[in-house]
Amino acid sequence: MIAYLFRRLLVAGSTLVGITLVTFVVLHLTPGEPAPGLNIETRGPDPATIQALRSRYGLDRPLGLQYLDWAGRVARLDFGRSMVDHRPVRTRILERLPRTLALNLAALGIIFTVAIPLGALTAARRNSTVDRAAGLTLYTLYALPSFWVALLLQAGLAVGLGWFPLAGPASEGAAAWSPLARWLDGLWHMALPVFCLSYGSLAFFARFARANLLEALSSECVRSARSRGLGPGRILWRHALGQAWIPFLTLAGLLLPTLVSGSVLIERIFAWPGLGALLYESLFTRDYPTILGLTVISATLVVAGTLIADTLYLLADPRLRRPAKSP
Amino acid sequence: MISGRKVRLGRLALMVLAAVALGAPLLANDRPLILRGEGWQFPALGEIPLLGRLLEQPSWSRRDWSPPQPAERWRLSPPVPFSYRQVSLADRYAPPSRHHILGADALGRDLAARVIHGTTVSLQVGLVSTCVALAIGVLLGALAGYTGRVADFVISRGIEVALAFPTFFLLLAVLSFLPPSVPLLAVVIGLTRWPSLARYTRAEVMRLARAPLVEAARAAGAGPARVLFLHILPHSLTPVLVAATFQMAGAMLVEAGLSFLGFGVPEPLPSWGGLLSQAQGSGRWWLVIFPGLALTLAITTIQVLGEQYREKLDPRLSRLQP
Repeated sequence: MIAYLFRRLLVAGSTLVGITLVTFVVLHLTPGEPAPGLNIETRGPDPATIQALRSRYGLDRPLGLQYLDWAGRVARLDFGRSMVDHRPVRTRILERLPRTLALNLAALGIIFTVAIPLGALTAARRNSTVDRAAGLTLYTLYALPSFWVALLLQAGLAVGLGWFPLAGPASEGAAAWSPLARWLDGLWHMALPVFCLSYGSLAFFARFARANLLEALSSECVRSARSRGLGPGRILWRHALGQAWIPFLTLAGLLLPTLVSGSVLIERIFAWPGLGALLYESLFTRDYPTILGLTVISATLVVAGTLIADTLYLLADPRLRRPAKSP
Repeated sequence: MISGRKVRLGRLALMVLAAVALGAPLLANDRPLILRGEGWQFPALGEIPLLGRLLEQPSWSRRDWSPPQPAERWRLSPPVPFSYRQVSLADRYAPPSRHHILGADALGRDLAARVIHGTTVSLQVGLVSTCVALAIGVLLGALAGYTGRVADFVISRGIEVALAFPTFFLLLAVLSFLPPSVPLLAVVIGLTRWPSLARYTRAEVMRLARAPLVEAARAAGAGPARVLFLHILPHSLTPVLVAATFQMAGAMLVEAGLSFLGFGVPEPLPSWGGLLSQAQGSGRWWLVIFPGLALTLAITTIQVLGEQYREKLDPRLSRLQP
C-alpha cells in the first residue's frame, strides 16, 4: 500500500515537472518574443531599450537557469507579474479560480449522481424499451461536440425562448440583491455551461456503468446472493454496485483533464470569467507569465484530482490494502 | 482481417467521407469541371490534393471563371459552383436558397463549399496526427513491452504522466506562439495523442513475447530486433490500429476546438470548428447547424467504425456494451 502510494506520488511529481518543463521550453523556443511590447516589428524601440527590457525580465539568461529560477519561485507560489496589467499572476488566477472550480465540481457532481443510477437502471432492465432508448440517447449525446451543443442551446434556449441567460456569471444589478437571490441567480447562469460541460462524460459514464454492472450481475457473488433469496433491488445496489463502482474512481481521475480542457471552450462561449477565459485572453495578449502560471495551476488541479482518486481507490478496494506480496 | 456486414457499412461511410475530402475541389469550385473552348480543359482537377499539382496550368490560377471564357462553347460546373474562398459582399448572410444551397457567411462565401472543403482539412489533420501518434506510441510501447525492466518502468511512468497532461491547455499555449498552418497543427496534435496507443502496444507485445511463434523464431536464430519488428509487431498491430481510429476521431475534435478558439486552421482555409466560431453571435441558424452537423457526422462515422472493429476483435464486449 505504501509502495503503491509512493509510486502514485512519484508519478504526480514527475507530471508536474514534465508539464512545467515542456511548457516553459516550448514557449521559449518558439519564434517571437513572449511580451507584445518586445516585438521589434510592431513597436521598433531602439536596441538599448530592448536589451534593458530583456534583462529586466531575465530573458537574456541561459534557458536552464531561467527555468530553475522560475520553478523555484513557482514552488513558493510566486508566478511573477502579468505583462498586461502588472498585477501579480497569483492574484489574477485566485480571482478566477472559484468560478472554474464551481463549474467543474458541479459538472463532476452531476456526472456521478446521474450516470450511476442511470447505468444501474438500464442494466437492471436490460434489453427493455427503456434500455434501448437510453442507449441510443446516450450514444448520440456522447458523439455531439460540446461547443456545438453550447451554441445550439445558446441560440435556442437563451436567445429564442429566453429561459436561460445568454452568458456571464450573474444578472445585471445582482450585486444589490439578497444573498439567496444572488445564489439562485448564479445557479440559473450556471445551468447551461454545466450541462454542456457534463453531458458527454455523463453519457460515457452511464454506458460504462451499465457494462460494469452487467458483468457484476453475472458474477458468482451475485448468484449466491440470489440463491440466498435476496430481492433484486438489494442485489443490484449492494452486491453488484458494491463491486462495480471501484473502477469509476480511476476513470474519474482520467476525466479531469477532459473537464479542464472543455472548460476553456465552454467558458469562452458563455463568457464565464474563469481560468479558461483567462487563458484565452492571455494567449491573445501573449501574456507569458500568466500563461505559464495557468498551465501550472491547471496541471496541479488535474494531478491533485488524480491523486485523490487513486487514494480513494486504495481505500475502496480491500485487496490493495493488504501488504503486497511479491509475485 | 476484420470483416462483416456492419463493418462493411461503416467502412463504406468512411470511404464516402474520404471521397468528399479528396474530391472537394470537384464538388465545390468556381472552376468548371470541364470547359470546352478551342480545346478541352479540366480546370477543377488542378486543385485536387497532391495530384492536382501535376495537372495545374499557370493560366488557371489567376483567372476569373464566372463570366463566359473567350471562345467558350460549353462548360460543366461542379454541383456547388463556388470556391471556399470566393468573397461576394452582395450575398452577405444569404439564407439557404437554390443559389447557395446551405446559405452564405458574413463575407458572402458559400457555406456548402466551405463545409465540403472543411472535410479535407479535418481528415488531413486527423490522419497526419494519428500517424504521428502511432509512430511514437508503437515505438515506445514496443520498447517497453519487449525489453522490460528499466525501459519498461521509465516508459510506463511516462505514459501515466502523459495521460494526466491537460493537453488542450498545452496545445493552446504552444500553438499561440507558432505560425498557424495545417501540417504544423496536425503534428502538434499528434504529439499529444500517443500515450494510450503506447499502452495498447505494450500490452500486446508483452502478451505475444511469450507466444510459440516468437519462441520458434528465436530458435531459428533470429536476433531481438528481427523478432520484435518482423514477428511480434505485425501480429500486435490490429488492436492498436483499432484504438487509433478512436484517436483519429479525438484528434479531429481537438482540431475543431482549437480552430473554434482561433488557434487552429488559418483563414481562409475552412475548418468546421472555425466555421462554428464565425457563426457565434451571428444569429444565422444555417451557419450554426451545418458545420456542426458535418463535424458530428464525420466523428460519429469514425467512432462507429472503430467500435464495430472492436466488437469483432473481442466478441465479449458486444455482449456487455449497449
